[in-house]
Amino acid sequence: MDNRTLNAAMIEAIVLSILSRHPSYGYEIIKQVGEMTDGAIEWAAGSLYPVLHRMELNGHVESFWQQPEGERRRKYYRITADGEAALESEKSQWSTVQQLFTQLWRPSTAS
Amino acid sequence: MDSHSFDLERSVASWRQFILSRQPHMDADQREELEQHLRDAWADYRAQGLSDWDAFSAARKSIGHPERMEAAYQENYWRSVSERGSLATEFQERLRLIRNQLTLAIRAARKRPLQTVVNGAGLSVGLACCLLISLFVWHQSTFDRFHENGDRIFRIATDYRIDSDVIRTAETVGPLLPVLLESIPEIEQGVRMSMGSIEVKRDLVELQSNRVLFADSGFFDVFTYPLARGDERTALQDPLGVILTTPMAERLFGSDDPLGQTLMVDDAIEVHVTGVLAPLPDRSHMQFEILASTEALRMMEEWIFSNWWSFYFHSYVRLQPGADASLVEGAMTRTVRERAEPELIRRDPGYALALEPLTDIYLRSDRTGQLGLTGSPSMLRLFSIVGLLILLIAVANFVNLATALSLGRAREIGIRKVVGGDRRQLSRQFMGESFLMVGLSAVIALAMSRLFLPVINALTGVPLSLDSVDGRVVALILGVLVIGTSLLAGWYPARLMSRIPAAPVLSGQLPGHLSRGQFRRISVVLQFAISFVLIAATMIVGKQLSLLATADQGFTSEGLLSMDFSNDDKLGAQPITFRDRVAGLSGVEAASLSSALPGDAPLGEWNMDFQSPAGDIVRVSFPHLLIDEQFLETWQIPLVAGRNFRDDIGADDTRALILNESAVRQLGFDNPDDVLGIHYEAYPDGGEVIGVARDFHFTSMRSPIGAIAMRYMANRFGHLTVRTQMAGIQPLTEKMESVWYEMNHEKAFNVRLVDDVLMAQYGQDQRFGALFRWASASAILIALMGLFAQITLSLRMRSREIGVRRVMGASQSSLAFLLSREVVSLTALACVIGIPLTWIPMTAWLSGFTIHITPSPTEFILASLLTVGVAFSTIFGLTLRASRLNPVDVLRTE
Repeated sequence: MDNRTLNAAMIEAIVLSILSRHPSYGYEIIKQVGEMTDGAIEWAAGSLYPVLHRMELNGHVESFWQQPEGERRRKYYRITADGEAALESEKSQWSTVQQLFTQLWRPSTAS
Repeated sequence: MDSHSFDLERSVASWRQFILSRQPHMDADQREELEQHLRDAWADYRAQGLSDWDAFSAARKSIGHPERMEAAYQENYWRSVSERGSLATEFQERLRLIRNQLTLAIRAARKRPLQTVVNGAGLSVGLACCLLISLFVWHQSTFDRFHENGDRIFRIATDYRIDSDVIRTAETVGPLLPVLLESIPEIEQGVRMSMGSIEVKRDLVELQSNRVLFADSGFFDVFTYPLARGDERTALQDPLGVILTTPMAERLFGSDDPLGQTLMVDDAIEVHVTGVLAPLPDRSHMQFEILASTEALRMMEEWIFSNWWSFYFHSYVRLQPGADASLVEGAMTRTVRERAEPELIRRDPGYALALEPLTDIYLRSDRTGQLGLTGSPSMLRLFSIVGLLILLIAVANFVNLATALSLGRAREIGIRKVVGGDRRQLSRQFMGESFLMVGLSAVIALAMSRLFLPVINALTGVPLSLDSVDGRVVALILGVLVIGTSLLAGWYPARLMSRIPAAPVLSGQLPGHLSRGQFRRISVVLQFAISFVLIAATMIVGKQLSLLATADQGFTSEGLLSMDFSNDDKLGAQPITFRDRVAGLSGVEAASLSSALPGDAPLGEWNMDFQSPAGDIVRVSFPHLLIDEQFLETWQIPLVAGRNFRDDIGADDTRALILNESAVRQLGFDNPDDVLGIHYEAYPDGGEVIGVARDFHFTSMRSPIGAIAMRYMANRFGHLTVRTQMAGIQPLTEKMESVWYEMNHEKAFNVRLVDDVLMAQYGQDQRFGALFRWASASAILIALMGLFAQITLSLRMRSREIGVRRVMGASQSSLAFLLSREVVSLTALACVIGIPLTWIPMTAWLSGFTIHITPSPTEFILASLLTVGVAFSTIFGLTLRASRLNPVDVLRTE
């Protein structure tokens, strides 16, 4: 299966899910996804940032600069109310898919 | 890896540079965000134990594929542009847009450097040609614009009649202007002028000026010629005062102040300088070196001021504001008919006066007896057409390449459309790029035009200098050219691209009409058709000119040398002695005298009454040529009947007449022998026809051979012609010069080859020939450069095809032929189209000559071979090179 198409479909849902926990920045999001999937999903920066920018344009997230002491400033993203709503609808869609797969991949039992 | 040399900041800086050049749609915030990402990734990889270098390289890799990233950023960029609509950001947005377009344009140019350079060079050449020709047209059509009230200044011209011929002259007679000034109130002010020549001397400096303008004191009232020294109101009041132009003053007085100084004129009269003119504007039909009073002229030639037949003057008038020139013309004609000497009007009841606007004189006056310079409107037209053709080739080229290059960007366009970039935005982008490119070419063209200027000056015969031209004019012309060309050149690719359907493009297909390259074909045909026309025209003009040079004039011009002494009183008084002394020089085969040379001003005409074969009296008007008894022999014109003048000229022979065959035919005789002994009456005396000479051409080949009547009149000779061997010309000339100076030590010795005199009649035609040579060379050069760029581009696009064909066993030359086929057939088509386009205007030009060539298939075949040949060899060379590349390499890199 083409990973790019799949990525494009799920990337917004994943980003919204991460940001609904706490504000974060691009590098951290990629790292987090990598760790949580044991490196199975490794997004390139070039794929993530444009999505973040698009989500910002859509009003699902908003960005702000933050500079910790002694470090360079980073651009953080946090979820908006619109984003929360979008996440809810994503969740229900992905849950449906998940249920579907759960049923489809259940070892078949002789009936 | 050498970790000592790693410098994070330097690596990040170079990465930033890379991003800047590749990601024009990324803004500063986005770049900083990505940079921070890079730093974070680097730190993490370092922590995992990678070396500095490896960590940085891994971090870069984690950012992803630059092209894909650019597409994504671009998509967001256009989305943000279309969603942001507030006025406040609009302006900022525009600026960013322009900057981005610039980046995109530069990137596109850097991707295809060869094509861009060739494209720009072709356009620059075209623009430079066009700029220079426009400057020439501007220069020629803006003469005499510097006079205040110039729109109210007119020249009086005369239409009068000599027998049945109406003479339209720019001259007027002496007594006319005072009468008009007195009787017509609409004429505010007027000035009579007469051009003459004098010799001026100051101490040891002695010079001859042929451009002395004698003018009434109203000169400074009518014309605007500021004086650098002296007072305009009084400078011309003094009959013995002269006004010098700045160069003349410098030649005579150096750095001394000339005002009030004295000069000797013609070794007889002492005059003094009453003024010095500020440097004269060059675009003036009146060109003079010394300005003197008509009162000085009156002292020498009193009669011309009162005689109603003395066409010695040019009269200029200033009308009252609002006066209707056509009404004034009528009033002038009525006045002259009332007030002129009655005999004049009795003999010529049609005598009429006309007004020529000052600003039209240089270019539009076709009258005889011009005062100064005149331009050539037909030359102006021809130059404009040629200039436009060259520009057309250059623009077609430019559009063609711009379109071809833009096809490579179809995907970019597709993406923009998908994300909602509207057509106007896309058009603007292409227009912007076209504008940038054309503007850049214009700058190069400006530099080039300095280089080409001497060439254009030689072609036009008009000394144009870029420094003398107002910078605003150049800016205006260039501005118009740049805007016009940009619109033209940007419009087509813009229209084409903005109509591209997005979906198929994104999936990697080009719509059929684009990939077939209709426009490319049309443009190739157009360019080569123009080149063909210019090449064929060059050949035809060249052939006609060589025909004129070798055409049978009815006499043998080779080996004839001629001297003009018509303005020389001393030699004019003893021409026979002069002729005999020259005839005695070794190397001279024959020497003769005549009143004119071929190609001089038209011969004067005589009214003669002959007895026709039917017995009645026929009145004819024959051009007359005065010749001595050596003339026919020297010029090798055979007699077909009768005899020549006798060697010992008696009273009889001064009335004897020799006619040419055309004259005999015009009189109605079929056999030349029949005309011998016929009596004629003319003013002041008559005589009889003693001989008939074979027809010869004494005028330009533009007119048919006409009748000529020849008589002997020793006091009217002005030209000595000698026949010699071509090899002996140089030593003979020196000997003739010493005879000349023995008999006359004043006037400069000047000898010309009759062949040169003859060709001088075709000066303008020769310039046409030179113009065509240059134009066809530039046209074919630009067209070839365009073709070159076009082909290298398409070869690159087809490199995979070529590689596959090579692998499949096609030979190099068969491949080259295959790839050249299309261009060859297109250029061949261009030639076919070009034939009628050459034929029609060239036959019209040729029909102006009595003797002319007929454009033969040879010229067209040669021109076709040349056109197709150079195109083919360009293509063949390129394709051969392309097919030599190792197919394995080509296919691997694909």
